Amino acid sequence: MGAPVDARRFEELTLPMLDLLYSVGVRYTRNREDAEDLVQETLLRAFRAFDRFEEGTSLRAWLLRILTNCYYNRYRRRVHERRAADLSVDDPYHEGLVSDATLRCLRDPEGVMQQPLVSDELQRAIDRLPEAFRMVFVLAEVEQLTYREVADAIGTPIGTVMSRLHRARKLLQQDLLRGREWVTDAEAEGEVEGTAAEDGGAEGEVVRLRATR
Amino acid sequence: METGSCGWVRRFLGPWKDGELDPADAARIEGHIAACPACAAQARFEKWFAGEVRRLADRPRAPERLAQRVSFELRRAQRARRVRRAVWAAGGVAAAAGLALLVAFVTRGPVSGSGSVADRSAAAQPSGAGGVAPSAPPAPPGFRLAAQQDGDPFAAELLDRHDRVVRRTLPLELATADGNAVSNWFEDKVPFRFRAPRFSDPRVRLRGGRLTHLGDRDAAYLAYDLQGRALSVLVVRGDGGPVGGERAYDAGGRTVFAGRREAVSYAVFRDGDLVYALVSDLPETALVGLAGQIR
Repeated sequence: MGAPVDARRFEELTLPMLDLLYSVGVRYTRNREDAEDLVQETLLRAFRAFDRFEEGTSLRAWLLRILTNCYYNRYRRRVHERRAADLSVDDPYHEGLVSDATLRCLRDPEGVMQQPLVSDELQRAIDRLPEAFRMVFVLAEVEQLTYREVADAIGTPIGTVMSRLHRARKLLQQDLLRGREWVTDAEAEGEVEGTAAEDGGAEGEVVRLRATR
Repeated sequence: METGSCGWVRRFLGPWKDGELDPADAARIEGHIAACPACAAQARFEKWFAGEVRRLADRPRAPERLAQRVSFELRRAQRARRVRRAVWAAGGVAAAAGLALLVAFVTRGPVSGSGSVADRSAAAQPSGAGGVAPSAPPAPPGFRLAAQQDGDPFAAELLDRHDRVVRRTLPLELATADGNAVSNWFEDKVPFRFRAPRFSDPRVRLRGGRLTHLGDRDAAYLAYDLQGRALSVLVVRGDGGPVGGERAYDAGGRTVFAGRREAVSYAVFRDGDLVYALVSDLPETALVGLAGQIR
């Protein structure tokens, strides 16, 4: 356990992560003003609770965990009111998308790579991801956190991170590359839940992750 | 799905690409890819896609004002923590008295002991930024500790409301320059009746209002503009509690308590059952002058 910290020291530790927190906050809330409030609240809570931070663990994962909790507690309703059409994990459309099309395999992946993605389309496609998938995708793919850090940040087992990340990638690929000729094959590959051996997973595919960083 | 099959390999290309797999499973995937052109193409695609995401995904940088806001709030939180510690450290009766005063700040606004304005200097009603002389009111030790060294929660709340409206995180619920319309709008929203303050300085223009709270009390928030500078006026029922502040002034025939922190001034006075608080980045004496103008 850490000790209470004064404001100056806390700033030295955390302000280098301000861009990270803000960037994730914008992705969570999809609104820059809300993101600013979210980050401010996160850092104030972290400051007050700093004696509960365990030294030697990832400070950025701890801050992101607080940010995620703040988002769930305070901002999620507001964001959802604005985005009534947002899909949730349980949304039938989403479930249908995953299980029916089952995230089709590529017929010609080499050909697809000849056409770069367009930035605006990518931003919109990330924003369209269902919330639980968007969080994991942003933390792991955009912000490059390790799976362990993502799991700590959102409070889920690491196998869930892996599974959601896989689905997020496939949803994004399908969304972004929908119009391209190659999305035709119906090979099933997205339905199996990935289960990390360290979660003690008994069902679905088990894969061993390397030792936690 | 059999371990080592095409399906298994494709299922775990992501963690493999991310360097998250155990070396034995990573080696199994790499062995498969070396012998399977279709999975090798898929692996190249996954790496390409991740590279495109990293290249293109918007990672907005935090605006500079956010660091300033956070820094301001952290210092405010630190001051509040010191107040709590100081009060507890005082122990026994002194602690109880200090806590009672802190509670009073939150529920009734800043408190000063009786006679706290006795030696205030009588000053003419100010015009513009000058003309008001402050004097420090005597106050009991518990009050001085909380209100003058470490900031009092009431003033902190006032500054917070002003700051949030200026930054538009608390939007106005009513936008009008019509004082009567504003007074009527608040009629069924706050548990008191009041008239939107009017200033004798014609440059002060009403912009609108919104409902807010101070401590656990409903309060009326009124936004004014003085030549492009934001002026907030908050009105709350005082319920007979005393009003105090860091410095006391005579302005326009009323006693105004005022202070300044983080480049923002506040001025507080009582009028009957109501307490009025003004907040702005104007100089403290100018704000006191405006408080003296309210009719």
